[in-house]
Amino acid sequence: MAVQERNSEMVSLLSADFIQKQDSGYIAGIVTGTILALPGLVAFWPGGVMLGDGDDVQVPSGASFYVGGPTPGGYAGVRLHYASNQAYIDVKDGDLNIRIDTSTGSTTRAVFLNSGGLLLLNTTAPGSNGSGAVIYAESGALKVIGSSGTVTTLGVA
Amino acid sequence: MTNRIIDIARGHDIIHNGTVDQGSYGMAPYIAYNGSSNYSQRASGALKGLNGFTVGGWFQLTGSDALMAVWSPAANQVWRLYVNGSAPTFYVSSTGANSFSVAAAAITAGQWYFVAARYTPSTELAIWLNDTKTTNTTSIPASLYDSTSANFSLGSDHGGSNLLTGKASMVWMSHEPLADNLLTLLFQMSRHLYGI
Repeated sequence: MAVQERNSEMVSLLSADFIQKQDSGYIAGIVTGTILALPGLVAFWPGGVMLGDGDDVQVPSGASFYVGGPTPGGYAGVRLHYASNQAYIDVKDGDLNIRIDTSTGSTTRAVFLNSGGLLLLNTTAPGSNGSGAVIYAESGALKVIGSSGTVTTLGVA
Repeated sequence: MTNRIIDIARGHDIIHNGTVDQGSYGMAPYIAYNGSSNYSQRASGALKGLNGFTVGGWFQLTGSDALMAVWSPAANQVWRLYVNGSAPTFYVSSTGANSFSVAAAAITAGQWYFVAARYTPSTELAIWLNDTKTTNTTSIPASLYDSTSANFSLGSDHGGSNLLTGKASMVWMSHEPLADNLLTLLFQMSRHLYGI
């Protein structure tokens, strides 16, 4: 009876077309894929470390950064947006704070209160603006300055 | 920007404290912890797993160290994987102060191990050391303590205490109490990466 001799090169010849059971590259791939497909997966740290490079997380001028839902008005989240006029939007203690200024952020101008209403923070009287009337709060009173510079108190403190 | 261990699933990157020592064991990436100054930590948030979870990964262990945890000894204990003596042990707490646990068999220092732990509310704590499962079904709490101060740590259990001397690789967490056969499959399919 003829005996079929084993071709000792067969395994290596076939390895180009068939995956070997203990091929570490193949195993690493399927293990990673299997973990990523686990039900309810909330985190997977394979072991890679991103080294700090000193850069901030940056959104280009004119683009927006969304927290919560990606709605332009922040209806289901908060939108942060920056353009040439230096705009800020943030939320603190349930209130929506809006600042539009060139300071470091300490001069919040308007607060939409979680409890209801719009709060204008006290400020010194701004100069008149030829483009229209400016409403502001001074010493607890609500005032408006017209384009010609006339100040009218809308509500006392 | 600080050094961060990258979560490729849901973005729960972990801030790494101390020197970064990363490498690969064959094709398996790992982070090495020196037991004296390196640990990784972030706000716990979704990683508290209050209503059931499974965690796992490969660890090269040497002795009595913490692997990963949301755990603060100051009455803010949630859960932790900790090598108690030479036995990997899984702890959970519903009060923040008192814990339930289940311990696996003793390790041999310097070897790679697949370690996984599963919390099934009101039912079971389970820990796998490679493909060997150990359980505790006595008085398992219905939910865990919702700590507002305990961070999630990898390579320690709280703020750099019980620092790990060893390596961590392919670490993951699921909010599902995963099935036994799935965990066994994960061990069997990945063991050759670590020479086990």
